[in-house]
Amino acid sequence: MRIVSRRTSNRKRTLRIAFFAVLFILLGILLPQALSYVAVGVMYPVHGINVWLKESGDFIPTLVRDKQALDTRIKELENALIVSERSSLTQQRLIEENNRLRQLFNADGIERIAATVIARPNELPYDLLQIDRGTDQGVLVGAPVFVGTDLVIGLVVHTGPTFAFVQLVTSPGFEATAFVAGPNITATIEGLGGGQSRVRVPQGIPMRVGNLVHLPSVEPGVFGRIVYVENQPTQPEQYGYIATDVPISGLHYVAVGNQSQVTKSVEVINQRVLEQMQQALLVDRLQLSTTTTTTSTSSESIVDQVNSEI
Amino acid sequence: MNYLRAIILYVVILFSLLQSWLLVTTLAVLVFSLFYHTAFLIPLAILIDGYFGHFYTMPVLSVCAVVWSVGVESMKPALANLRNI
Repeated sequence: MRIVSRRTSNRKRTLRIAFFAVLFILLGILLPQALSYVAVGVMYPVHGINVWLKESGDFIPTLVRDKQALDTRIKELENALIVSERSSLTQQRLIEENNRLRQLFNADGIERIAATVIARPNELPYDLLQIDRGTDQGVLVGAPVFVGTDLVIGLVVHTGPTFAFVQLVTSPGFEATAFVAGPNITATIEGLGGGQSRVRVPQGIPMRVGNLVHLPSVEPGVFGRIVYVENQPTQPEQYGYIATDVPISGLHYVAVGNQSQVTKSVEVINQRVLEQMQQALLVDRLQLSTTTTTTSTSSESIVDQVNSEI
Repeated sequence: MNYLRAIILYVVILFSLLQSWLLVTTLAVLVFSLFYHTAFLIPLAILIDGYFGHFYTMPVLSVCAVVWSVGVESMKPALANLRNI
C-alpha cells in the first residue's frame, strides 16, 4: 500500500503553485512583446500604404491627393461664394441707400474728367504721373486723381494746357489726415516714396492688416489698405504701412476730380486773420492827449513814442 | 478573526509597498508568512509589478515572491518540527 505523507503533498502543492506563478510571470513578460510583434506584422502593410498615399510622388498617390485637395478647395470656394453672395446683396443695399441719401443732400454734382496716363515712373521720377488732360479740359491744381470710383491715388500738382502732372500720395514729404477704419482713428498719413506710405498711431490701438485707410478731405477717398503693421512694444507709436491695390505700372486710365483739394496752411491762415484784424480794428485819427500835470514831461515823451510806433 | 487579520496584513503589505515603507513591508510579510500560506503573496506581487510597469523589463517583486513562497513553504515543516521538540 502506497502511503503519501502530508509533508510530501504540501511540497508538491507549493511547487505546483510556484510553477504556475512563474508561468504567469513569464507570460506577463512575453505577452506585451508578442503582441507588439503581432501588431507590427499586421499594421506594417497598412502603415506602408498610408505613407505611400500621403507622401509618395507616384502617379496614383498624387492623383488621390490632388482629388482630396480639389474637393477641399471646392468646398471652400462654395462657402466663399455663399458669403460673397450675401455680401454683394448687403453691398447693393448699402449702395442704393447711399444714393438715396446723396440725392436727399443734393450731393450728386461731382463730375470727373477721364484722363489717360501718358507717362509714369521709369520715365518720370517715382511717385509722379503725367496725364493727357490739362487746363483746357478744366483740370485744376490740387484736384484729386482717382482710380476707379473710390480709390484716390494723388493730387494734381502742375497743369499745362493739354497735360498735367499728378503727385502720388506716396510721395516723400506728403502729409494728410487719414481715417483708419477698423480702429476708427484719425491719424497722419505720410508718404515714404517708392509707392509706400504709412500712418502712425499710438500703441494700444488695435490696427490690423486689411484695415481701410480713407482720406476724408477727398470725397470719397479710400486710399488703400494696411498691408503691414510695425509694432514694437518698446516704441511709443506703431506704424501701419499702406500700399495701393493697383500697381502704378498698371495704370492706364484715371479720373480727375473737378474740385481742388489744396487748402491753405495754418501759418497762411493765421497771417491772413492777423491782417484782417489789423485792418478792421485800426481806429483812424486816434489822438492821445495828456491828462495829468504832474508828469507832463514824461507823458508827452510816451505819447511821442507811441505816435512814432503807429 | 483569522480572516480579518489576514486581510489587514494583506492590505498593510500592499499599501506599505506602494508607499515604499520597506521596513513595515518586511515585518508584515514575515508575520503573514508565519501564519498563512505565502502563495497568497504572489498575486499581490504580480499586481504591484504590473502597476509599476515592471513587466516591460523584469518583474523583480514577483520573482522574489515566488522564491520566497517556495523557500518559506519548504522550511515551514522543519519549523513545525522544531516547535514540537
